[in-house]
Amino acid sequence: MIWVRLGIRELLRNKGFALFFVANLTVGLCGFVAVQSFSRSLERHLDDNLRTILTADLVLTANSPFTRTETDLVHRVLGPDRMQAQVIRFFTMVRTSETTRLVQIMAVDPSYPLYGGFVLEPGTDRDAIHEGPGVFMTRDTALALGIWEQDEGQVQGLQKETGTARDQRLTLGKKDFFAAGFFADDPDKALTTLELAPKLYVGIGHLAETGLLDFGSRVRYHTYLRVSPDTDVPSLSQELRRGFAALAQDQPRISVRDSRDVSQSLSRVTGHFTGYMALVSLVALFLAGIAAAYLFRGFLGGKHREIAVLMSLGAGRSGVYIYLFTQLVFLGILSAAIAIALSWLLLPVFPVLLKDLVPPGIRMGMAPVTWVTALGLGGLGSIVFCLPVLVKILSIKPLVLLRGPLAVTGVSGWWQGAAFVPGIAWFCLGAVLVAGSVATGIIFTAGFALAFLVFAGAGWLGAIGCRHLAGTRHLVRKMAFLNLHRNIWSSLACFVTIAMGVFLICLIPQVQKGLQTEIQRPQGLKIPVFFLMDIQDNQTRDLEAFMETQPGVLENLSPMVRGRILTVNSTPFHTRENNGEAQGRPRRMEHNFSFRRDLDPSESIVQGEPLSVTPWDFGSETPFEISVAQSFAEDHDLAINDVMAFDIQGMVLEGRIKNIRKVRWNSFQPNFFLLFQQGVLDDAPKTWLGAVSRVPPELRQPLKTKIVEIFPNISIIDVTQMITTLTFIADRLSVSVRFMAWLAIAAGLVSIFSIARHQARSQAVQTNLLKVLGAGFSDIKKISLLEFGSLGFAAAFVAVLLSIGFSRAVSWYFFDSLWQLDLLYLTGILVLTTLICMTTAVAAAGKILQARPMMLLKKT
Amino acid sequence: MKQTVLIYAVVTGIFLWLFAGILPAGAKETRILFLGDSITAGLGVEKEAAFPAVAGRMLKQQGIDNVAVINAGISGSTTASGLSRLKWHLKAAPHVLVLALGANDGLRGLSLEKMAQNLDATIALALENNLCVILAGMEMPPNYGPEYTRQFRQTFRDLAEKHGISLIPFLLDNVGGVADMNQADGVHPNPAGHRQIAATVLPYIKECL
Repeated sequence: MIWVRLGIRELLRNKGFALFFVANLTVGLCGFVAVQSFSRSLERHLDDNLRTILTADLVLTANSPFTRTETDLVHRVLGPDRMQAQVIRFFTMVRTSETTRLVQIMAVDPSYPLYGGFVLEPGTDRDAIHEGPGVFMTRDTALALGIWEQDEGQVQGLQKETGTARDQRLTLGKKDFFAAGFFADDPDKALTTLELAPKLYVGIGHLAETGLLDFGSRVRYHTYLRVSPDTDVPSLSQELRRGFAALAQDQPRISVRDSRDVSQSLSRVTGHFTGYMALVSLVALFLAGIAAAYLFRGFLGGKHREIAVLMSLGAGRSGVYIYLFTQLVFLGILSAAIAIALSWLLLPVFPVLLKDLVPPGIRMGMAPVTWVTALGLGGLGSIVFCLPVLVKILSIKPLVLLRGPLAVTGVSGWWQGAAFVPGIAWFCLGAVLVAGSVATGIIFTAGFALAFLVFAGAGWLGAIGCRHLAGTRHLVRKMAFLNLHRNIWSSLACFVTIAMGVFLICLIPQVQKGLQTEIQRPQGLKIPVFFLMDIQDNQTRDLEAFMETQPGVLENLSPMVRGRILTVNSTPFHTRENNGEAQGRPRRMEHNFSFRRDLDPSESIVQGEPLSVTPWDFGSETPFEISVAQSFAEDHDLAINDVMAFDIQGMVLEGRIKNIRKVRWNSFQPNFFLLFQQGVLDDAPKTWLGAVSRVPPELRQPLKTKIVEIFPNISIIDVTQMITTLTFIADRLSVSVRFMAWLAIAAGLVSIFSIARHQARSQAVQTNLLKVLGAGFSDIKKISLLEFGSLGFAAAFVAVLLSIGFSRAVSWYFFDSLWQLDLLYLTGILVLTTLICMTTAVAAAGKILQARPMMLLKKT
Repeated sequence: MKQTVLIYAVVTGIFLWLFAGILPAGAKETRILFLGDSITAGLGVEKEAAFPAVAGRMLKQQGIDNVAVINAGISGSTTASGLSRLKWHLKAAPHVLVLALGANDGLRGLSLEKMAQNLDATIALALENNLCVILAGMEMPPNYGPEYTRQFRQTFRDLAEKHGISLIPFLLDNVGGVADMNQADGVHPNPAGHRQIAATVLPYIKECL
């Protein structure tokens, strides 16, 4: 206990050091805690958004009522704490006083929706559809059914409620219903494959009276499920899928969807986002570790004498260790506690201070696991990271009191090597923890270790090179490079540490830029309002002429031909395993093919050459050229030069893959997995797809009605609401990615400042000596500037170079090669690091110059 | 003399053999065009398991060898595409047309008048080109309401009567609504369902042949 008291007392005596250590470690830990908390808050925020779109955590769908065995399985997998709602969906014809038309019935029980809730116009009773034969619908639906009419002259800036109610009776089968209320916001935001008809919400209890559910009726039964927060929903989905497959001998009749299925492209992006968050957290963690180790190294360096005194007074080596460990743990925990408190206070301020960078409406919170990790990093981590420094105590003897630092002989290589093992293991463990994957954690650790070795090698070569640079008569240059060469170990440590810091902060923005490009909508592309499908060959001209007279722009009119893929390199296509996202989903037997003269702005060739513009000669025995979407190629193991045979409307044709194309599906434009060379499909029976954009909100419904009247076979998918929701989430992701990058960079730059400051201060004796020998302030300043400037520049330069290659590899492995070189940013970091090193060194030198030489000598 | 008889017998035998061999090769192949939607295309099953291919095999099993089946099914297609698609497939000079469109028009609640017009034009073109036309009738599920399902059913009957062509009253007879005959989606037939559809269609095709 005496050693603990001694340790604490020692720290209280060295208030300056303690404060400096705590302040620096706090900043590093603050970055880590903030990154972790922000990352978790954002993931939760995103999950909430996706759940609100799905209105549940899980949705089970079948085409007949669920059996007892199936509901038992659900109970067994999800447990009794779940909430559930039943929905029956089907199409039917509704009759009103004005019209008869197709509608989609959503028969819901009172628990639906489980997330989000109905947003009805004021004054509407939420239970009206359950208490009586009422129907909820949107105003647009009411307009289409002719039970409500918009007032003339109210189109611009209209209040939606401004209109005239008509006869509000609707007949569904044998039963009359009435319009019980209107939605202010459509509760079903999920993208359905085809929105054939407007939805009417009725109470499930009134369905039987319609007489519409009979043998042969096409009805979908849905069970919406909500589980307790923090449940691993994806693994539950998997378990349910396996369970249903086992019940139905691998031909499950029940489909299971969770929030990842809301949008495949979005879930891919969010998957990347989670990986990115892990990367940023790791960087923050490592920077905090570096800062801790570096600061303690300086602290311990000046304590050899004190330890020798204690040992000469009879202290055992274990006592000395307790004494030092106490100090480390005390400082570490104090720093972590301050960092947690600061982060806790700052987190709610983030959305206010950075309102353009942080998604609005996000609730910031700190998870207990973040507290524990931060305390672990501060307390235990400081010991583990400082072990390579602490191990030097083994070599301290009381002789130091008589012979000075020369008596410190050093410890054996084995001990020094072993001292790094806990640090590496600890970092690896932390990496696995924040990345949420053993493989990812190990890969990151190995990558960082490799970078460390590269920097050590480069630093060593640089230090040797300094001897040659010092061979000059110019005093400033001679002294600066001589210092770097003479203090080779200290210079090397500083070089490696600065390089690691710069390397880490350079990794982030390069991955960030690629990821952000993926998330953001392609520049210049308009967001469509409607998708038009089933446009016949002979209707394209009429449709184009019609749209010229209407509000809105018809664009991207694309031909679509359906067919089958027969073989790939003479092997039947259906025997090829589906990889990746397609796994576990029903096998597609038919595919859509298209052709286009120029690629869409949302497409780019990532491998191979563009398709020939010369049309393929139909009788030719040479295979035609094919362009394959990257995701499709990966799912089906397709490569350039693979020969594929197709059955196009009874005709067998053969083509060869000419290029692999990256498609940005979030452009919401008509895109295809397979594009053929011109001339192949020109005469094949085809339909066309198109997108309509730039239609003012108040004119959308009238335009939809007109298209249906003139071209009744054309299907219209209204994608406004779905795309608005998805782009909203994508935009939020985008700003968050940028914010996280800046947070990590800020933490990194502070760490570099600490390292440079410590290194400059450790030169105090030498600076003092120069001063005593009569060197002027100007020369001392120039020496410091050159010494630290060149050290900082060289370290940053090597780090920037390595980060370019490393970030490319990280992007390739984790983020589907989403990578972009950001030269401006890298140059900025290079300049900034050099400047930080130079100004910090000059400031430290200035402080030493102001002190009296005797004071400095006493200190040493 | 015996030698001459033998020579004549051999020569006659060779001629007979050649004639027997040449006759089937020279006989005209009957091409049956199945113009339809996802049911014809065989959505979710192998193309060889779709009912047009199955019907072709059944015909061969019954000794009708000179038959070629053209599967012109496109998933999701409506009657609006019927006319233009038939024009394309006329290049293959089919002899029999099994017209199995209309289900998607009904399921999407499209105008029954328009559907009738589209089918009418397609049938007229087929008849102009001397095709034997078989119209496959469809039924709407009960959830579409009694009035609509009745009108939908009647449309096919009226068209068959107007053009004097064969009508299969319900293409999915003994398949629609039967769980064992359909895939997990409850809408598209499985291989057993396709075999049943082929059995339903077969007598009408044989009439044309």
